[in-house]
Amino acid sequence: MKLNTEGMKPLYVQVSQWLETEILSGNIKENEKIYSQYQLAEMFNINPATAAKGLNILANEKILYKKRGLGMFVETNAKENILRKRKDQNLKPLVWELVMESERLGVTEYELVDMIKTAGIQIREGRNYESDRV
Amino acid sequence: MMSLTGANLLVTVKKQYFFKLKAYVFLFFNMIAVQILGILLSFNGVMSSGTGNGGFFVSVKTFAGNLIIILTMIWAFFVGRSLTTDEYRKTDFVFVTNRLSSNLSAAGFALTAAIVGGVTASLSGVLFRIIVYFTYGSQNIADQHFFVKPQELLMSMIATTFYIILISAIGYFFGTLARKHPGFNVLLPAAFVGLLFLRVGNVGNISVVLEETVNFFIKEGSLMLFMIKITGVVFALFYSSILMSNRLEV
Amino acid sequence: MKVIECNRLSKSYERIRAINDLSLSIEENKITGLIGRNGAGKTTLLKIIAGLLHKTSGEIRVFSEEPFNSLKVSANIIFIDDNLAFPKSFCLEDILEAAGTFYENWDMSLARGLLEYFALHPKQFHKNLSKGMQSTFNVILGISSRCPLTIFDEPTVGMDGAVRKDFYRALLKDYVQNPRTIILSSHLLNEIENILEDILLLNKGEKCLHMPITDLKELAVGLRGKKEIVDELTKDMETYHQETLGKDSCFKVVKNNFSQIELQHVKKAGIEMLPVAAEDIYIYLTSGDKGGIDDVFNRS
Repeated sequence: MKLNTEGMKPLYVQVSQWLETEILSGNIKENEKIYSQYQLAEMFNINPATAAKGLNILANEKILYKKRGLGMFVETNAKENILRKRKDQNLKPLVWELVMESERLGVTEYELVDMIKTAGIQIREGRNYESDRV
Repeated sequence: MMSLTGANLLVTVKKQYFFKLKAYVFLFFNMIAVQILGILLSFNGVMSSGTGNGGFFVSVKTFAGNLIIILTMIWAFFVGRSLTTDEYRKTDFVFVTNRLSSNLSAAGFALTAAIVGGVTASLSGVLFRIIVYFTYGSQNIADQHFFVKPQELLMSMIATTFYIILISAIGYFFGTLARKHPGFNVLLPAAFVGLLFLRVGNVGNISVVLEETVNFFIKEGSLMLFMIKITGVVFALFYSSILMSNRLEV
Repeated sequence: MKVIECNRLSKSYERIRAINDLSLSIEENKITGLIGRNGAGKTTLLKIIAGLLHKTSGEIRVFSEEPFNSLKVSANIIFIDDNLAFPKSFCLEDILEAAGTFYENWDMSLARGLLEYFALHPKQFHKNLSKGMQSTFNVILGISSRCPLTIFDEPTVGMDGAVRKDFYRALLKDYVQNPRTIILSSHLLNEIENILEDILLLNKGEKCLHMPITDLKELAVGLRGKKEIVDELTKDMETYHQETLGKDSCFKVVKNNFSQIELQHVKKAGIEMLPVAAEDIYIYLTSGDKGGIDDVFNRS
């Protein structure tokens, strides 16, 4: 398994995001035991303490819960928590960047919403992104 | 938590001793080579004189059997000296050791080497006599010391072995001294040669001291006392080597 | 439990101070990366820990004992560097067997497995191996001994990239199965940072920093953009590095204690935020008062 070591995202954040994706995709179900820090360490070739940090993030966010001596398990409503969190943490900053950039470029709100709508249609239809350069 | 290993000095010394026996077994092959060389040179180093009288010719050959022992002593000195060099000492520090256990196991090895050297040197002497006996025939051997009683052989074997132990301890001591103060590497051989000359010229008090020292061992009539004296000196040499090297860095 | 404790430890050779007033402690069962430039005092510190060298002053405790001449410390430590002395008469197998008699946790089947994996023949002699192969053998010795304190001083000298990767992976896997205290010294941080828990950065014999590696990676951030704006945004901040780009732009590395709000300010001002690799932070922290190699060329 490969982690991005160059980017801004710390390894343990990447680990926690990978675990979230596993939960979202249903590979690990609710109330199932999740990988231990040692399994993660071997999978990602990272120090177990770094992996533990990734697990702890999810425990603090009520996505995982600890059972003494048994390890960590997936919370009952983990999926909703992950989705809510991602909306908050991923989407919001992206929208911010989007709005800031359009302001710098003088794009109006109407135009921006229109672009979002078009992108939505294109993605749903499975088309590739194309720039309409004249 | 990985549980910590306890360490016992004697157990460690024993392990290091067997490690050294295995690692430095080639030194014993060197010894065998040295002793074979000794036997060969003994034939060569024969003094020969002859008298002719009216067609009747007598040839007298004197064999020097001590050469084997002298060469074995040089070997023992070299063994004692080598054990203190970086090459030998550093291997201890790859594994479990402290300076005391390293010295004790080296001393144990030097003693073993010296005992093996002493016994085999004595036996080589016997071997040499046997060869001479079969080469020249019993009726042509004139020296009454040629045939040794088993008891005498044992006595000389013990004495030889103790001398060789002493020499290897001196080698070890010199080596340690030279490690601590590299200047001794030059100084000691120079002093040794110097003393030899002084002895010849018989000038100054140093030669007297040297002679007294040598006499301290050689002139000892009782084998028991001789053994005690050597043991004492050997102990002192190793003890001072340990003291000298106990603060040395690797 | 603390495996190593130093208190105001110093070590001088003749006139040079190799270790200067160093105080630190290393917790058990962590992998610590000892990082520093050439001559930073890494080897000296490790050799004092292993009981090979004396300290000049201060205090050092390993497993609660003074390491110099301590059999207990020696029995629980293995020190691996590229200068190990083995008996000339021993082939690789003999060395491994000897190690087995000395080290209680020694795993012979692991040692043999690694030997085979790295294509080392048991009957070869150490001195006949290439530099990289010697290093490979030495690390096999280090891993298989499973010593409660395992020290690797620049263990990868001469190894090729593939072998280095395999070594780090083997070390990590064995560590996961048999946790123990490991110190790995290197001047190449980016190679080892993933398997580290802590980093100890030495500079000129002094402790520069000692923290979890994940913290180090978040310690600094790089800002790129118009110099006036960057300077305004970072005016009270600790600066690790800066360079000018073009006419009026700059790249500045500062301590990363931006709040969420401040981050938004930065973004709004059109300033790019760039991650700073741990390796770069280490270089900025240890480059001293000199401005870097560029200054040498800017003198004209």
